[in-house]
Amino acid sequence: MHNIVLRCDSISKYFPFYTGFIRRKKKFIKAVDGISFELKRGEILGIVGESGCGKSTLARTLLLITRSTTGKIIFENQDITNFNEKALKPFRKKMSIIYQDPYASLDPRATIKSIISEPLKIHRMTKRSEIDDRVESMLEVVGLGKEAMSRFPHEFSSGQRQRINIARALILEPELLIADEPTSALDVSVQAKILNLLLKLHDKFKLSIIFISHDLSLVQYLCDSIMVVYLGQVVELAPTVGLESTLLHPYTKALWDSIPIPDPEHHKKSGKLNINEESPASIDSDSFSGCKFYHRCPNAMNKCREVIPTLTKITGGHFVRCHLYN
Amino acid sequence: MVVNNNMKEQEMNTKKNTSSVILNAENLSTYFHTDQGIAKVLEGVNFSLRQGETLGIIGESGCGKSTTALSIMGLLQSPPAFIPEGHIWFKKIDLLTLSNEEKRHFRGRHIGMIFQEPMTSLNPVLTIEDQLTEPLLIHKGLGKKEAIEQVSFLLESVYIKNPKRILKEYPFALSGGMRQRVMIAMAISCAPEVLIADEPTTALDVIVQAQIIDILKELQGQENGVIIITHDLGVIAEMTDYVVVMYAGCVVEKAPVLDLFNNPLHPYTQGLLGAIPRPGMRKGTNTLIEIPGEVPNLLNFPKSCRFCNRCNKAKDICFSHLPLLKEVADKHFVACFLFE
Repeated sequence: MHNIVLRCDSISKYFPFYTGFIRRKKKFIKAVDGISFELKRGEILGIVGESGCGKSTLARTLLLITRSTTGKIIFENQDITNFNEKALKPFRKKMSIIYQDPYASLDPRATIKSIISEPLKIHRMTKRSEIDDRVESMLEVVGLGKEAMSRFPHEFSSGQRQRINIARALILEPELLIADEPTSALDVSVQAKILNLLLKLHDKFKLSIIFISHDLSLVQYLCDSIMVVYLGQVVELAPTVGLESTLLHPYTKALWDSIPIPDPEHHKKSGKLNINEESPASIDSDSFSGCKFYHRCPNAMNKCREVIPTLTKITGGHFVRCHLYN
Repeated sequence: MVVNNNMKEQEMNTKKNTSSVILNAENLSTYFHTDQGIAKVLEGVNFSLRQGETLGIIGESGCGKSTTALSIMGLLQSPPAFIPEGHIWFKKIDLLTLSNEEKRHFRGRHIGMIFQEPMTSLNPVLTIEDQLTEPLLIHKGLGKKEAIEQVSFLLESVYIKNPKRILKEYPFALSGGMRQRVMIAMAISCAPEVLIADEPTTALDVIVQAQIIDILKELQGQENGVIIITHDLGVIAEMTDYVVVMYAGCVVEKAPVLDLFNNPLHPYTQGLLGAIPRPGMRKGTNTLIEIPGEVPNLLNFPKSCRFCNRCNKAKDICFSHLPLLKEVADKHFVACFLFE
């Protein structure tokens, strides 16, 4: 057993696009720009950021659904970055993903049984005669009855569909589960059920989970550590215990202060948020010579415009990319 | 300073208590014809909005929040929708008795609305200027020049820095937050007495959401009444004075915002409040409350409490009768047999 399930070494994913006269000039959108981290066995890592910051691209790159432009992905001590599909197959069954949209991620023409059993068939994990039993017990684990087997996705509510998604992701008993905003399409009461289910399964299957979300309070509740991504780069990596008082990066602080607190007696400290406009598109960020957050940062200095900050260690597991803390 | 604030608050409170009701939904029911029968999407909804007050309507998807807003605005297509009973009083006028032509004069002029999806609610082939000036030209009879002047002033009030440039843009060129600002500017352009915001921040990132909430808060201070429809308890806590909790087309509880958060009475409200992770809560130490079961099908619903199948405190009577709203404390109403 390796203590570190997944390690990635400055992985990047650039998407080329062409501009200029007869589209000759080649430019890149740096969706993921040099991200490194380690995921320990049994850890739940939260990845937080605004839309367009590269969270989902990172998820797809980690699973080698899209190939990274540079960098290394090391799964259980083996560099799998350049493996071809055939060599990857044994690794594929150890990693799986739950998608955000419970409607688009299930084939409307397939029965629940064939949806959940498909990974088993592809990886030839079980004898044909045992497939029914496996699917049935998996359905039970996620809280659905066996009568669901012959039904179709449209007969289920969004919460139930997300359970089916989870069942499909876990039927091969993977080591690593990536949950890409699994609850953002759900109502709060359903969200609570799915989160409780994920925590239960985390214990049951000894899963390591990467939980992607835009909701900081959710990540803080569920995860052991948190990685804040801004325009493809990690700006802060911290353990979630006592997160509120240990946050350092101006962007993370702004994210935290933006959460509407469900308590009418709570009054905001600062009043108005001290942050500029909205996130610039990652295309434009290419031309910045200094910190990518410079244009929105309330604490920006001259140095920030000129020098790119590096991810610096503050304490044990806490890293920040900001000149204020160098 | 503190005393001053308290005095201000008291003043505000007395003002709210004595101020008149601008909008009053009375026993409002909205049904839809469907192939399978009649869907009772709203059933006997009662609430009122006072001048200067912000009313929050909270509930999960399918509970009838948006249908309530659309019924008030008269924007439901009929058929399939029809309103078999009830009244929507705007001051002394029953909005449901108005003809389509009269409704058209009402919308935008007296009641403004901000929709959830700023992309689909702006017309993609018209410039922001064309869309923003339209209500002023129609309702206020202003000239084009005057209208443009007022509109750029409006855009500044929602913190758009260079209104002259934005006015010439088409919606696709604006980000989600900018579009929502334009929507707000459009909704308040004729200074309506009632402003309805249907999930105004749901499609936005948290930082932008906080900015939009700040803008909406500034609007509250003025004389008009605001209705905020949302599923986010955080937004409710930050913005509203009085909250209506809806479940499956019925109002199950309504109370002043502090009462509702400190002393939720209906089992559904208690479930909702317990289901969200709050800042500072951690797995292991705090468990999220689950509400068992699913939202019921609204087709041909029997005469029982609509929450009875999911309620862990349900009694026999809950399965045979529909509970009515009852005032259990000052301005705190709950529809539940536990409090009969």
